[in-house]
Amino acid sequence: MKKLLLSLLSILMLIFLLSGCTPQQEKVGNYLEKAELTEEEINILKLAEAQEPLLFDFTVNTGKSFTIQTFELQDGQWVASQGYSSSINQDNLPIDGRIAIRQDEKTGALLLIAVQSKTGFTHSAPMPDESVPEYSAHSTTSLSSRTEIQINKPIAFHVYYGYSDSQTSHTAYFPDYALEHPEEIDSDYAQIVAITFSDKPLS
Amino acid sequence: MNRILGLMLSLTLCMTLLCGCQVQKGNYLKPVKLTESERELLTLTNPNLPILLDYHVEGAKSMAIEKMILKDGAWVKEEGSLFAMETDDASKPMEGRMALNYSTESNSFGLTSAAVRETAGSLARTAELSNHSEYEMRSAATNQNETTVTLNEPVYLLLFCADKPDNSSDGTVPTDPLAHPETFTSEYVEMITVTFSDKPLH
Repeated sequence: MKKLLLSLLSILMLIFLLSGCTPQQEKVGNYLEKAELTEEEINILKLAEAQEPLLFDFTVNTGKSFTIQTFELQDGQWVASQGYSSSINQDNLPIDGRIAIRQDEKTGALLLIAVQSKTGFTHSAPMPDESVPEYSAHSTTSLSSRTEIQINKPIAFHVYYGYSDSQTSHTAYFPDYALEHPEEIDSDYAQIVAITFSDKPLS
Repeated sequence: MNRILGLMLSLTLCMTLLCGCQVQKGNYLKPVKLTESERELLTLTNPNLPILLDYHVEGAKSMAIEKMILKDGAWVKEEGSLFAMETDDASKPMEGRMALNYSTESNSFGLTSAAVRETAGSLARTAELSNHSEYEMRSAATNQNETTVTLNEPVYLLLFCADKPDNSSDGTVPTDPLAHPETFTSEYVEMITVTFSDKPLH
């Protein structure tokens, strides 16, 4: 009887202790991936935000700066348009961060670029260009799997395709493929969002 | 020894059961206690953290979020509601969570959107509300206290004050601003309230 009680007590105490502990996922290496949220986080975001942002997590243990930049497809080439840059404090490495972007669904214009890192939060809200055209249909693709960060090499993590004609079917390529093969894109407008970690400090 | 072990077992069982239960009685509106990760997430996606409130009201058939303006020392309710909803089954309490986004920018001064999720799961949201203010000095205050809800009586949620630079307003907000409109010295004062009613919407 004593042994049974002792065993029960031990099990209950263990459950009690463990119930307050959430195991920390091991974060090693340099990578970018789509953020995984808990159900509670998703619910609170849906309640608080009319338009849910796109969220990506990164872990990096090298580099001196990073740039989040948009590229627009012009004459079959990606042309850099707007960007947000931040220096990386070497004392803070490795950095676990989160990126949030919000986009105008009709034009593809970025409404918010926000970054969370060890040093806090930065929010950038680019001034909307009111002369940009609106598209009657659009599609987007985002980074689908964990991608290794390579220094000085851009990682495309989101693409917006705008179509003037909503009737015709189109192919929406994933960001990495779209970055490498702009010639295959058949939309009327395409904009890619990429992040580049650099070994050079911001000038 | 058996008795001590039995007592410890009972205590552990009680602690295990109680730590997950927080019984709250009565009709109330109270700020949501966000976890650190929820707070970080909302701060990342929105520089102005929205107000998040949980509500539980027995006997209510409808709720309405409304705007009041301070005029000649008295609160005057604006016609219509910013948001309203009703329940089909008044035998169950109205309960859920609301989020109120607001801004003090001149081109969007005031409540910018509201959303309500009922515990049953449905989510309703206002369109983006647009308010322009020509006042140079603008401030906002939020109700951070747990508040007892009385049916058919408004509960203060948000306050917006605006002034010209030459008007000196101390910006103090009384605990119950609805009952003390005389304390405000700002040129423009607007309050957002919620009223739970035992009557259905018109």
